[in-house]
Amino acid sequence: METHKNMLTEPIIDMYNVCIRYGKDPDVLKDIKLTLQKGSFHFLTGKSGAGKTSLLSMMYLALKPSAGTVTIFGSNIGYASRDAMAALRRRIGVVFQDFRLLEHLSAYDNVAIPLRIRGMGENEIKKRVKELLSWVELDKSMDKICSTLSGGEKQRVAIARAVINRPEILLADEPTGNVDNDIAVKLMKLFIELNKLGTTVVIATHSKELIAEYNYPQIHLENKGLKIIPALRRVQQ
Amino acid sequence: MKKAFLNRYHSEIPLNKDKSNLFLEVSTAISVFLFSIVLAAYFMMTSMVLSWNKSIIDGLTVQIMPSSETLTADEELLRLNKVISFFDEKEGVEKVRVISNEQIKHIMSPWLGENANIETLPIPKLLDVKLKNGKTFDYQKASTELKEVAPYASIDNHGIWLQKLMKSASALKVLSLFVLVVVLLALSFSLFYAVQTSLKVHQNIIEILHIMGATDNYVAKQYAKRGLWTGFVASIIGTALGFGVLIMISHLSSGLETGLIGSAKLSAWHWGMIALLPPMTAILSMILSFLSVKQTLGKMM
Ligand SMILES: Nc1ncnc2c1ncn2[C@@H]1O[C@H](COP(=O)(O)OP(=O)(O)OP(=O)(O)O)[C@@H](O)[C@H]1O
Ligand SMILES: [Mg+2]
Repeated sequence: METHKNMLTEPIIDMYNVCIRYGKDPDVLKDIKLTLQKGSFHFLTGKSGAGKTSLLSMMYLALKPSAGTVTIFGSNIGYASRDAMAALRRRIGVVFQDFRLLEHLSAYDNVAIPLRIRGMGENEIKKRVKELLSWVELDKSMDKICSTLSGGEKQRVAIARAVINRPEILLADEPTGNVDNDIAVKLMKLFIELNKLGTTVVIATHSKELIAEYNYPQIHLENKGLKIIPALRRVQQ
Repeated sequence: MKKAFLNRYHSEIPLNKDKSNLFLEVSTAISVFLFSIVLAAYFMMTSMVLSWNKSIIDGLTVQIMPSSETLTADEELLRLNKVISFFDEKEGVEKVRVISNEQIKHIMSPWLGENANIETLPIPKLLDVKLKNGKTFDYQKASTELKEVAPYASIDNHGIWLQKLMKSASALKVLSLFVLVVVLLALSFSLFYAVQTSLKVHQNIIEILHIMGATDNYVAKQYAKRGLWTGFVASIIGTALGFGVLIMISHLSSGLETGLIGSAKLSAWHWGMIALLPPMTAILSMILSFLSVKQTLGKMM
């Protein structure tokens, strides 16, 4: 972790006095201050309803704060144009809690979306998508329509879609909730690999085992506020 | 692999299974059908007015009624010459020509048969008067003066009549242009409405695409592609129906070979213009789809 720390000098996500509120409901989160450094890895924890998904949606720019400023990749999202926002989003990979796959498309086509949005050629897309899908052990289900996949398969498609573009930020909402333990381990390995290559990772989870097993700091949400629980000083290899 | 090839043209929004598609196809086909008919009417009126205009410029016809008494050839000639010199001396007249019996025979053949002996029949003599400029020639005045000089002769007054008719035809032309604009607006509106409905239906997919970094252009292109395709297919149907009706009309009116309607023919150029409707509609529908998406998404978060 010590060598790792040298990378952590450049803020990639910065929130200042941010509030999140839905309509006229009371604030879900209030006066949040949070700075994530480039290349960091955090778990996002908190009780159900604490606002984990809400905080993540703000990070993937689907939700605007009701107050405060959010700066991502150095851009204040309050002032970004629609196209500038789109450009920022292309640098972020997202795994949704409910997957949000395009159910009428095949696993292949779902994973290809971020690449097609980038305008990549079909040959290159084919190479990359096939490689990644076989890595998550979905090469047999590649051409299956997503609505016919099992929960665990869908989750792997969702993760493949999030990482295919080698995002600079990876936001995953309960990414290991539906898969067997060995697949979960494999997926965590994938996230750690990406992190080593420089991707900033935030994983929302309820799983105490996961948090205990992997030695990363937690962003903990409680009473509309946020606190950072540092990583246990345990050598982990 | 064949699949990869198909994927190149693949779009994430399932627009081809969209309910708004049928609405779009039907309204486009109907609009294009109406447009083609009204456009044809506009063309017909244009060529009709053109040919009337020409016939006025060309000149006028004078009828010399046969006398009730039997006249000698000299007397006949005198009667005829009187009228000819009246027109010869008149300002604006270029040439006066007697229409030969042969020609009259030809004109009358539908009624009298090819072998009728015209000389024995009490048929009026006809003069063809060529004018320098029919538009400024005063038909009414010439007609009154002729009555004094030769009461047995009369100007065929269809020039006067045509001048009136042309005015109403021009008004009709303006009206048909107005109808064309209205049809175009109706089509644009239903296109915009269909796109808006479809955007609502696929809101969820579009939101996911946006989160993955798709620009509004990326989404709008998928709609543009759909617009191009449905616009083309539907307008081919609409134009084909229009062609059918127009061909039927021209068949029915071919019985009215002579007369005013006879000149209301569509030229090859006109047919060509109508045949251009499908590609034009396809392009219009593509552009409108694209702009509708951009405009609607631009107002969202
Ligand atoms: N779209 C929405 N409209 C209104 N209220 C919402 C919306 N999304 C979330 N909320 C509310 O915001 C609060 C936080 O929800 P959120 O989904 O962020 O919690 P969470 O920490 O992700 O919960 P879980 O662990 O169950 O996924 C909840 O009270 C929820 O009811
Ligand atoms: Mg959640």
